[in-house]
Order: sequence, then structure tokens, then C-alpha cells
Amino acid sequence: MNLMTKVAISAILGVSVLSTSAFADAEKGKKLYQKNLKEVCGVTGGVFAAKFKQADWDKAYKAGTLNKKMTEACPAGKAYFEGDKFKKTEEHMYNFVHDFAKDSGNIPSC
Amino acid sequence: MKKLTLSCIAASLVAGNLLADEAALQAQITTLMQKIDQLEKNQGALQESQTAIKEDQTVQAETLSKVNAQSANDNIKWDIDFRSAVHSIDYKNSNGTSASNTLFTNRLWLGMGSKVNDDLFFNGQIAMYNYWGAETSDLALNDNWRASSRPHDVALRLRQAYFVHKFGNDWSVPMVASVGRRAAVDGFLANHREGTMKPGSPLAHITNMEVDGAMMQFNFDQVFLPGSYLKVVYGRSHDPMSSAQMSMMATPYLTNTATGDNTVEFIVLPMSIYNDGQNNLMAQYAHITNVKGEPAANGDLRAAGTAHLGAISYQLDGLNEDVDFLNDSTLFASVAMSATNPNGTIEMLGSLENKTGYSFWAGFLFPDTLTKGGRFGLEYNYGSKYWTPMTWAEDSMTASKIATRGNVYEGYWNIPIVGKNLTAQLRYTYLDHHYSANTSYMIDPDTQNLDHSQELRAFIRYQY
Repeated sequence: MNLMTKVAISAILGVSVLSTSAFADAEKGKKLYQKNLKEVCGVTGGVFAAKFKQADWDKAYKAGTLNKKMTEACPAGKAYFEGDKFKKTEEHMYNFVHDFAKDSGNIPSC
Repeated sequence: MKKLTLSCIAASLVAGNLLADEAALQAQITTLMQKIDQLEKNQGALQESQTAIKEDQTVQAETLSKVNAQSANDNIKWDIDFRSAVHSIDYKNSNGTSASNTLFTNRLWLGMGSKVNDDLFFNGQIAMYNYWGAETSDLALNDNWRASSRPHDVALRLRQAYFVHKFGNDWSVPMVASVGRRAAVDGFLANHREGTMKPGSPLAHITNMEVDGAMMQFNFDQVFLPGSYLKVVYGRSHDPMSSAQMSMMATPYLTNTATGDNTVEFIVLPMSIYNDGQNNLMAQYAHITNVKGEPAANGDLRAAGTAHLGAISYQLDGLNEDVDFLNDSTLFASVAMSATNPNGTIEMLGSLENKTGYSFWAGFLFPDTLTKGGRFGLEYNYGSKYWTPMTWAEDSMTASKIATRGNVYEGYWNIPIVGKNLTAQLRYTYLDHHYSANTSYMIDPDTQNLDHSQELRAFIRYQY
């Protein structure tokens, strides 16, 4: 390993210390929906997220009422939305519904 | 007299009452007038507000018209994925000599998306991936160090471009049709070592190629297991045609089979067997015709036979919901095989007989507990003597690690710096070759050329 490689790797390690924001990811939220809610709600994740616009999801998330908004979108999932599991993964779920909201303009791949 | 007095009193009372009524009336009139004045003032303010609103609406309408005119027929969205990396590579030859190098690379992906509606959309990707100091083919004019500053030709490469049409959404088995240059790189399980959350379409254990093809997908989610589907893909990966045949012939665009080369076509069947978001079981079969075997003495490519590939891959996301560390961990394992079926005259993998190779691949990803969302990954894969998958587009400087005949050990650290928008990775890969380095079906595995090779890679990546 030459000097330049060492410098580059040291720089990466240095930058990693700056890691500030949590790695919330829509893909993880999608998996959580698949695992815990798809059967209960009876619709795909895309249909669930598209029940509301981005502004609606944003407003609920900022107000700390995302669980209530999601219960509106899927009343059958109320027990899950009010449970501890949801609280722990709320940020991933928010990223997911935000990215696939009614007016997100998101273009899926296939 | 008495009557007159009473009349006067009565008149006075009436007059007094009248005077009192008049005063009250006057007060009421004054109040009303004040209210009317106030209303008039309010109305004036209201009219001013309405005028201001109308002016705003006019400005907004003009702005919207400008935006509308500007975006007319502009139906494409762009995203960017840019990565800079340093690669330290090292080779130890089987004769005992060794060689090493350090590369710096830039990779740019410009993602394109266009959507008519939820059932009809397009995805594409323009790509550039260069190593620092690279030369173009025309060395006299196109030195890389002035490629974008001096006038000459510029080539852009198309990595992906395909449209998708979904139909039969209310059928028991909804379908999807797609044609184009399909997303067949960094597929299922290879996404972890690339620091990407979402995998590409195929199983990376046997397919990691840029391919042109047509795909039909059948979604069995409603009639079979959760998340299950089958894709049927037809494609063509090689069509022998020289540049002269494209422009200087009386019969242009005819495939040239004179040297024994033939068009390579394939049928691939990727399938999701079960996917509930936590457990993901996938499988794939591939049939490839006219695979190239031992070249002619002058180096011409020659079609030698057929190759068959198959794989089953499983991934478990979240090992235990009650333990955060395990809940954020991922475990995967995959088995695969490849088989050659030579036509009889040209050797494939140094033999005229059918040969079968096997491979195993496993990995474990877990939280680094140092950064917010960062994960360490450990992978191991093994390939037998005749193991030869189609993974030539795998992003490894020391050639495809999945294709290695021998043992491969790999460790990496995926680090989010600014969420998912700025990420970094450190990755080390060690390839212990038991046979020849696996680069094609043309070479006999017994002609061992490398003892081992290794790559240390560090990158920083911007995505938005």
C-alpha cells in the first residue's frame, strides 16, 4: 500500500467521524411495510404511501402524529402503528411514505 | 280651564316624548352612520386586498405560463450518483513474481426517469467510469487530461435504458412488460459490497452484465407466496458485425459468421420465490447459446456451445427484532452451478466434454456501532474448477470475485456521512486462486496463472 492509498484511506476514516445524520432509508421502510403491514392492510406499499401527499405525511411527521396519519391510511394497522416497534422504525417508515407519496413523482424501477 | 290645563299637560308630555324619541332616533342614526363609515372603510380595504390578490394571481399565472412553456414536452427527471475511489491492487503470479498498482477512479451515473402514469414509465442511466490518467483510443488528439477542455469528439455510454408497461393490475396474475438495455448489474446480494441499499434485478451470483433484452414478468403474489414473481427474459449479448459491414457493404448489417463466430443469445428466468420483507428467497436459471470457446489460431472468436447457469439465494434481514444489533443485521447465503455443453469441435474450458462447476457464497452485515447507520460486512465465496458465471461487469479491479475458482475473503465498511446522500466505503478483497483466473469460457482452468490477488478500495460517493 503506497503513500497515496494510505492518505486516501485516512481521509475516508477522518470523514466518517463527521457522520451526523441517521441513515434513514426508504428501502428499509418499504421492507418494514412488507414484513409487518402488507397482509394487514391488504394493499402494496406503493398504494399505502400514495394515500396521502408528501405535505400531509410531512405535517404529521413533524407534529409527531405519523402513527395517526398511517392509521387513517390503514385502519387495520392501528395496533402496529401504536406499538413500540413502530416508534423505533418511524423514521424509516416516514422516508418510505414520503418517497412514494401521491404527489412524489417517484418513478419506480422494475 | 281645567280642560285646557289638562290639554296643555298632555301636549307637553307628547312633545316631550316626541323630543325624547327624536333624540334616540338621532343617536341611532349617528351610530348607523358610524357603522356605515366603518363598513365603507372596510370595503375599501377589502377592495385593496382583492386588487392585490388579483395582481398576485396575474403574476402567478404569468409565472405558470412561463414554467409551462419551459417544461412543455420536458418529461424527464434526472438524478446523480458520483463516486471517487482509490484502489490498491496487488497480484502474486503462480511463478512467484508479483505486481501492484494504485488506481484512482471517477464514476458518474446520470439517472433518467420518465413517467406517463403509474403503469407506463421509463428508466435510463448514462455512465462514465474512468481511471485517472486514462487515454482515449486516439492518443494524438484525445488525451484524457484535456478531453473536456479542447474541442473533439466525446463519447457517452448508455448503461441502462428501458421502458416498463404494467397491465392486468386487477387480474390474479398481473403482468409487466419491458424492453431495452435492462438493469442486470449489481443484482441481488452484490448490492451490499457496493454500498447500495436496493439491488438490481438478477441474482448477482450468476449474472452481473449489461444486457439488451426483452422481459415479461408474472406476479404471483396473489395466487402463490408473498412477493413471488417470475421474469422471462430474452436477450442478445453478442452479434458479430464489423464496422465495415455496417457502412461499406452492398448488404450492410449482416452478421458475419465466416470465422465461426455466431450471435450469442440467452433466456434468463429470474424468480422471487418468497419475500415478506424479512425473508427473501430468490432463484434464477440462464441458458446461453453460442458461448465462445477456444479462439482460432489468428485470434478469431468461435462459437463453441451452450452454457447453463442456476442459483438459489436467500437473505434474512433482521435476525432478532428484540435486539437492536441483530435487528439491523443481515445474513445471506447462496449456492450456484454452471455447466458447459460444447458442440463437439471447439473446446470450452479446455475440454470437449460437458463440465460442471459449483459455487457457494455467504455474507453477514452488522451495525458498526461507531457511526449512525454504518455497517460492517464480511463475505466468503468459493468456486470449483469449472465454475464460470456471467459476472464480467462486476465492479472489482482484480476481476470478478464471484467468478473466482478458489476461495475469496472480503470485508467492507459502509459509512453514511450525510445520510444516504454522502456515503463512504472501505473494502478489502482477497482472491485465493486454485486454478486459472476466471476471465472467460475460452481458457483451460488448469493453466493456472495467478496464485492470489487482492484489492483495497476506498470511495466517497454523492447521490441525490
